[in-house]
Amino acid sequence: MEALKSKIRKWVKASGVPLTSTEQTQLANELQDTIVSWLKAPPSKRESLLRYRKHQIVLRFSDRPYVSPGHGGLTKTQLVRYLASRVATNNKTALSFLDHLAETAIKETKKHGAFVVPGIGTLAHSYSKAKMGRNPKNAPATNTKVVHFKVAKAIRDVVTRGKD
Amino acid sequence: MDENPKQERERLEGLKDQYKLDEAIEQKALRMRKNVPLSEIKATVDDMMVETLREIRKRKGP
Repeated sequence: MEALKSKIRKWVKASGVPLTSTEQTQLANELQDTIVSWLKAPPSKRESLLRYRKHQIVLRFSDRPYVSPGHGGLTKTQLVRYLASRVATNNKTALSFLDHLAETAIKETKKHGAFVVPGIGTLAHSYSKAKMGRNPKNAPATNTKVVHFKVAKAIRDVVTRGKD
Repeated sequence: MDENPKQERERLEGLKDQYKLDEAIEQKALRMRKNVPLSEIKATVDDMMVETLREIRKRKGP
């Protein structure tokens, strides 16, 4: 009898899902792994396992990230899961990466005045003169230093001018 | 391909029957010594597979 994996592969190819041949094979493998995990799982956990695996697979093989309803963007958890699925790592590593990136950005901006996030933009101190800022009701006047974020040209072109 | 969600689902299920995926999954369960009825496989795993493909198609590209 023909193996389950090859049957799934044929089904995926015949379905006309817009993926490359390699991606179709990877998708078939993911589906086969999901079925095996489902069979191994205790009956009480089967439903949630299927839901979770389906979400993971869809995230991995679709171009558009999941947009949280009502927020118009990814939450931190969704971003972590999305990154983990795209670079084939686990959520813990992806979360650790994000945390370290933010930590380094703060440290470097404080130390050197600027931090470049390749492909996204530059976080830097503004060169404008420090201003006296305070809440007149309850705070003494203090000097304020401005930090700004300069968006990379590639992003500016695509997002603001609608270029591809 | 212009088809509504219902037609797409029917087409994917038809293909699934053509390749006898349900029976293959049942055989796999037997080999793993898991007693899972065919009706449960059809109601859960099959549904998940079809929905996954539909979701990927929907989200893939504009």
